[in-house]
Amino acid sequence: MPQQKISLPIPSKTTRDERVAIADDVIEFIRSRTEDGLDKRGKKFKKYSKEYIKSLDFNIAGKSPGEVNLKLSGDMLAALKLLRQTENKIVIGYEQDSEENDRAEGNILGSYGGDPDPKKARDFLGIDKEVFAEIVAKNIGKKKDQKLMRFIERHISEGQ
Amino acid sequence: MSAANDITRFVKKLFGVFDRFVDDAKMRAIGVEASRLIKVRTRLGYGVSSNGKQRKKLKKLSDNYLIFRAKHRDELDSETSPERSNLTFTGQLLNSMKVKKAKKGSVIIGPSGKRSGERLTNDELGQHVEDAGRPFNYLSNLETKQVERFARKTFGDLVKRGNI
Repeated sequence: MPQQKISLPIPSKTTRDERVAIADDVIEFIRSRTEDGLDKRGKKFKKYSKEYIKSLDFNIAGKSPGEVNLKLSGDMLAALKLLRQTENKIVIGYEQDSEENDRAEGNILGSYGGDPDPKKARDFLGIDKEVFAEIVAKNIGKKKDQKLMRFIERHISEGQ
Repeated sequence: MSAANDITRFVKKLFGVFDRFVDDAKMRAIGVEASRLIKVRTRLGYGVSSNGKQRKKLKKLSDNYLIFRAKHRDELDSETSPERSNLTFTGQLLNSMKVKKAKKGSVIIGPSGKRSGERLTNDELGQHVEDAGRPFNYLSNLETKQVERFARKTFGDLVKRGNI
């Protein structure tokens, strides 16, 4: 299965520690937002299917039908990590071929072991540009100004 | 032998500044969260062979035991099924998971107490299932990350000072 990851641009002259700190904050933001039931665009996740709500796994995890947070064991969100960092970017995502990468793909594409179905997709792997700019600014000790926003707008892919 | 898991070393690493800042209540809270994670993961059908390892599917049930469970379907706990290998029949073993000892310098979690209508204790049964190839009372690599995050969110500042 393809590796699930996002690449985020980093302004020049940052240190390795700063890039790692930015990645930590992005990962924590994605985890918290997902736990709050929101996708990468800040929209509510689609509801769980009736079939899933009736499943043994759903019962075991003590989940509530109205609380869509992509957590069963919690491992999928825990496995989200900084894959690599260079002077001009950080890459966040999942280890290739891991069980959690497959689960993430199932949610992102709405495939859940079958064919992709956008109607069932719950894409959580991404971050709003404004939020990302705030995280970058905080970690490099600068203000979120127009220059930083322009840099992020120019280098970040739509939907990340 | 006991099925208890001493997660003290992990907690020490987690906090770094362990002796100065971590009190009994914080140790207990970490133990409770660790027990909860182990219980859910085991019921989902996964075991872990030692602290920090990846979880793996629990060994399948034997054919004879599958037949036995199917016959006694009505007695099964609501969090299992006749086919599922998840260390659950009555539910007593995993429901008994708790913090056995939590004080400054030590936190031990594991199954506890007597089992209804049996001479075995839950701790003894926990050791028995581990000896039979279904180890469960350990924190996996990703559960360790979850406990770290729990501690960071619950005790925030304290963990930062520990430089995790």
